[in-house]
Amino acid sequence: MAKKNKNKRKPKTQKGKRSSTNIHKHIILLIVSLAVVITFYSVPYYNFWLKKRIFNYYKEVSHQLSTLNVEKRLIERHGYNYLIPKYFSQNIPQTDKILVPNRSYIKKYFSQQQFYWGYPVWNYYFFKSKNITIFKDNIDPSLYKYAVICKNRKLKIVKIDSVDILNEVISEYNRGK
Amino acid sequence: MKLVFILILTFFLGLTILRRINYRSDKIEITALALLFGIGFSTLLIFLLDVIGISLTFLSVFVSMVVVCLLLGYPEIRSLIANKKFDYNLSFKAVKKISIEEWFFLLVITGFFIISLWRCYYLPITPYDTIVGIDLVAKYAVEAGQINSYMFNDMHGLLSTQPYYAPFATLCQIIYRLADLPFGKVWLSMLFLSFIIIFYRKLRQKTHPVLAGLLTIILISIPEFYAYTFMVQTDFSNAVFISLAIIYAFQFIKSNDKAHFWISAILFGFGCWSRSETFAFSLLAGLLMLVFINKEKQNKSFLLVAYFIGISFLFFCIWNLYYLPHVLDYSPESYFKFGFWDKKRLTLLFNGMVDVLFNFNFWGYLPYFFIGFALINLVFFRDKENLFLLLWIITLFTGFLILLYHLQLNISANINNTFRRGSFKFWPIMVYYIGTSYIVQKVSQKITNWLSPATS
Repeated sequence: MAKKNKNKRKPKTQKGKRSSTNIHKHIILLIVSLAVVITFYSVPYYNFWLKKRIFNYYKEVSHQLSTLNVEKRLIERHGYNYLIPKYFSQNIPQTDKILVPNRSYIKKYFSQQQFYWGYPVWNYYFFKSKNITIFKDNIDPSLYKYAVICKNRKLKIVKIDSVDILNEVISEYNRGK
Repeated sequence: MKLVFILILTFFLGLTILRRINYRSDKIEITALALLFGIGFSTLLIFLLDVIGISLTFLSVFVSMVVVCLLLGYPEIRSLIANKKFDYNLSFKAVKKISIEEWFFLLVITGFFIISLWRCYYLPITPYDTIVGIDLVAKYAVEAGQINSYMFNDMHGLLSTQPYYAPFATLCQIIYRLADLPFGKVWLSMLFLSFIIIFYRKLRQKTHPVLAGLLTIILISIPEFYAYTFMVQTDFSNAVFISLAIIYAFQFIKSNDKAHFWISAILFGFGCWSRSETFAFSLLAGLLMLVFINKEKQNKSFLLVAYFIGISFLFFCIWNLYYLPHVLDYSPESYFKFGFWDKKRLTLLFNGMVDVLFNFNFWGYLPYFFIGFALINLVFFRDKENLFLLLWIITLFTGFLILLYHLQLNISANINNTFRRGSFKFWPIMVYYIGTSYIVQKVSQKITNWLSPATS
């Protein structure tokens, strides 16, 4: 048994010898590898991606570590797309229906990324709100208690308590088509 | 803490299944594959719980995973009790064998992985399709304890197709949300981790570690591909399953080892579990395998291909022919139209798909590298060793062309969204093809010879 163990150990020693004699070759290979990777990331396309994305991602980590609050993370990521549904859910009772303009109207007054807040399913995802409806020509606007419009590039929630206001809302929506 | 339990159980679930398939390989690959299998099978498990009416809670998921691990791992447990030795020993021998230059590449890859993991954990769900689909279903399934939650009633008439997508990502979201992660998502990082390990190990089995490391870095550095390692959608997970399935199928063709075949078939099945239209590609992959399987075993090859397609079909059926119509009461509207000829449409699609594949902003130089290597490999060296991979890439492209030709949705959306993200399946195979090409094999051999003691 002891003999067997001795034999087993033999190749290990040879292996050790091999790696020690070859260490300079491994270092050369490491330097070549380093050079190849640096060259690869010097190519403008990959260089741009590495700097603009990966390095920036690393830079953001320290700020992100100080902002671990889930709510803050949602606000940072979604902006108005999160804040407006939150405002609806906190300030307008679920029993009161809200009329929101369609996508083209919102896109006209908001940035290209910030138009999801008007989607009913989007509102439901965040706050379980079920009282949002997108304006269409064939819906009955008189069922709605509130409407969202944009005035002077600001979002405004209008309480619909007269036919005049309702007509004003509809003409505003039609203006955005 | 819950996350740790889930990760450990996921690993053991995958490991016990690999044991039953009798797959033997190096322990690093086994560990990564066990994690990948565990992620896949844990989704099947909670789906089963939902079907039999057990409420989806952390406890029910935890207990069911433990029970399945114990049942599937019974032979190992018996051997552990009898011999007091667990037949799974992740020794550090493999780590000791890693050379200094290989460490360098592993470090770079780890750097990419860590930032992807952090962003995956930190950032809320972002894509619109995921918010009104995958995660909407998952969030309310966790609240209600069942996939068919009150959300479907509340939002009746307002939902589009997104909540009815193939369930893999949704089920993963449910498990990781049950583990108290505010946005779920971390499963995606585990999927990415197991993918890069397996991909790297598979390349390393064929080429020198330096080349395997470099090629893995080239793959990860595809901006569009990398971005989806921390953005929950169905396409990245689908690409992981399908590309690894093809790599294992390639190994099966070369080695005739049945375990490779079963792994490939199961991974392809999970591909269908993550995107339903993948079933069409399983037919193409099956036919391609039929051409390449050892001619001496032609009779058996038909049976194997039937199993391969059958597993994918089963995954496809469970969701599309059972759960959607019978539980969610949703009949997937067919957007397909067959039996027509429109040359203009076909040309438009073909040109658009080629434009996407060679879009420099998305994929960088990789498509050009690939074409260059494939041409040199075929024209100058007449190397047919990895012809299966090349033909799979051509088959996949043709499959997409046929699929999108019949899909009656906006053609530009088909090309710019469906095909752009669907093309994730191409890139790992293209890189693997380069790694197994004659030139890279020669360079690999030269490096190995140069490092060998005889030349020192």
